[in-house]
Amino acid sequence: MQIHRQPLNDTERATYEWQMWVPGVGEEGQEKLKGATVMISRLGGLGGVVAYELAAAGVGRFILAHGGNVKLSDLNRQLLMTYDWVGKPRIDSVARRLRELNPFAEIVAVPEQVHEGNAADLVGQADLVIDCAPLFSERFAMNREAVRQDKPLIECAMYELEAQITTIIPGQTPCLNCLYPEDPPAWQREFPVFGAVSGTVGCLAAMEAIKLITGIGTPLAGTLLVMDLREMRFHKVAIARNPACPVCGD
Amino acid sequence: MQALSNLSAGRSGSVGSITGISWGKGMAITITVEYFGQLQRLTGERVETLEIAPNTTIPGLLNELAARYGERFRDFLFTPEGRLRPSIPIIMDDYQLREEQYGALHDGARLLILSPVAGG
Repeated sequence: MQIHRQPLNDTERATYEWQMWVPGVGEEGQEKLKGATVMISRLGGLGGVVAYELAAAGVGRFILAHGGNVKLSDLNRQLLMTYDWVGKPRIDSVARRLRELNPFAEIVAVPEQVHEGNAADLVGQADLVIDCAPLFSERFAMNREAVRQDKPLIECAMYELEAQITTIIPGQTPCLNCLYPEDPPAWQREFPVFGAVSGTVGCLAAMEAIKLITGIGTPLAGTLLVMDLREMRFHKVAIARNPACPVCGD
Repeated sequence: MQALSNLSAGRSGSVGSITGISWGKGMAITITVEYFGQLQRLTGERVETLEIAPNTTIPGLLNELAARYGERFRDFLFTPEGRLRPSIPIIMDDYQLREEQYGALHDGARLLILSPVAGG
């Protein structure tokens, strides 16, 4: 992934001083974060936390897709939504809250979910894609485009007190279709959720993005991290590539 | 259920197994199975240690578990035609197995049966 570095001004140097102390980051890493464009599908309990952390870290540009209006049942986990915004478009609340935190970030707010018809355009605008959608049809559309356009894709999801996250590097790792070759019939659109679980995996996804952009550390490439926060069980699992995968196969 | 029993106390004295090696009558191997997502609700279990017959295959084990945990568990794991659903990742010793790798379990195997999740 080639990121065009953007020089920092004095305000940014002061804002990000403490994270530039992290070994391997420095001003060069911060310039990469400023130069990066990150696309996030859905800004709910998971994607909202990803966006908030990356805005705080100084990512320079966001492509954000989320349709619908804020509902009361969003507010236990969707930290970019507020009571005074109930009934209004979610994506406007997302843009408003991110601009409060980082007024220098460029935000492209797309008031719709990802689907087969817009995935190519949305993915094409980004250096890196983060998938937080609650439907496998949306996830498969993102996966297909990310692989086709050779863009890294962070896949993160949760259910009840559990979560899963992996990083897909096209040409190097298995893709989402290798892990889930079909739309799972048992998955239901509405699911039990605590915001703290979404937020946990959201922070991990943000960290994966920071690592990919700056080059520090080792991402979960080809590895699925499976978490059960009820018992604090954690497993790192090697995902098997499917040579016959219709998306990334030979 | 003849070939599957919960381990009560101590190990069976087995010395390990490799796919294809035959075992003496009465010997068993010990494995652990961890359930995730909706499977925890369907089984009421998170982790269980089981004694199973040597050379039990992964589909064989899952069929026996389906007999224990009922139709909803079976429907979750298997298609109506009795084939394991591709959308259920089966992990053994921290590696996802492809269907063609669903061979015999070995003594001490750690099996994870994941549920597909997409919540955010």
